[in-house]
Amino acid sequence: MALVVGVVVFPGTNCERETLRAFQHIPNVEAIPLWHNERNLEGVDLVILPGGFSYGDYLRAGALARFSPIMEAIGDFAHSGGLVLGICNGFQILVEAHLLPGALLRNEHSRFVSRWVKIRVERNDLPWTHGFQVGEILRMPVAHGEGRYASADDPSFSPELVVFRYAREEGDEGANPNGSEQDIAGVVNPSLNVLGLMPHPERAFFPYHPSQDGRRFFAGILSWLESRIPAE
Amino acid sequence: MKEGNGMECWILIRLKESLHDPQGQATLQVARKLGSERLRNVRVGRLVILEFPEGEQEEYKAEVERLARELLVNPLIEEYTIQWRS
Repeated sequence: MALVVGVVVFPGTNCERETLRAFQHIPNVEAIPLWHNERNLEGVDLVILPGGFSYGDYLRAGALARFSPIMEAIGDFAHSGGLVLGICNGFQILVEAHLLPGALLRNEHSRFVSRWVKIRVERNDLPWTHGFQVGEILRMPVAHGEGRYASADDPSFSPELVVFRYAREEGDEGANPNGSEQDIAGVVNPSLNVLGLMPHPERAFFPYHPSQDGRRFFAGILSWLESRIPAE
Repeated sequence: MKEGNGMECWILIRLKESLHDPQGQATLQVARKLGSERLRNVRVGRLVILEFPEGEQEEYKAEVERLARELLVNPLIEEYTIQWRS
């Protein structure tokens, strides 16, 4: 039985095609779009909130999308242990929805940043990163104006929830692209089943991309899900 | 523009002072270049105007506070002030 990945599409989402296409190139996986007005998740095994500018980033990035009808179903799915991944704008939506701790602020230099970054895997005892080594460096691109992570005294934040950090190598002052606290690039919720990250794994996937680390990342999540399916 | 007799609730939202405000800092730098040497700081925020039919502020207060907390403001990073104008 194929695993089903649902990619949520809000008005203004613009990375859904790249994300769907990536998953459609992984054998034995079905990837389907989920429109934000839906109220059920069609039995998917993994929910992805992709990048873009949901609701034009009006008010605050993610602040309006969080009230879309599908978010209630995503909240229920997350609370029952389902895996939810937010990429870039998807990460912003998940913090606004309080499914992840902290907040994402305008980049420190106030410019939109679009370039490749290196991120370090901080822990691998998770469904998200079990295929990586702790300390392993991954290459993926970022493209965002509001990616400066702040834990903002959120009581649900703790340092062990950091999964990815921008890898600061010696002499590499520009390693952190947005001024995020403690070089944070991705965090998980205290139950460990909701992850958000600013870099775009779907843009580090195909052979013509400069890195395929995003493919390894996605494949790792799917292999964790497969290992949980009872043998028939 | 207000329609007929109504009242406006102005919600002024800005980043908490403890957080770096790059919009304010960029604006401050340019303002200094324009000769505002005594200017100490600039902070940039957002104004949201809610329009209600004419009535007592008290009857709208709870509704405004709820909208501010749930939607208009992210209390982790922002603070706000409410001003009524009729």
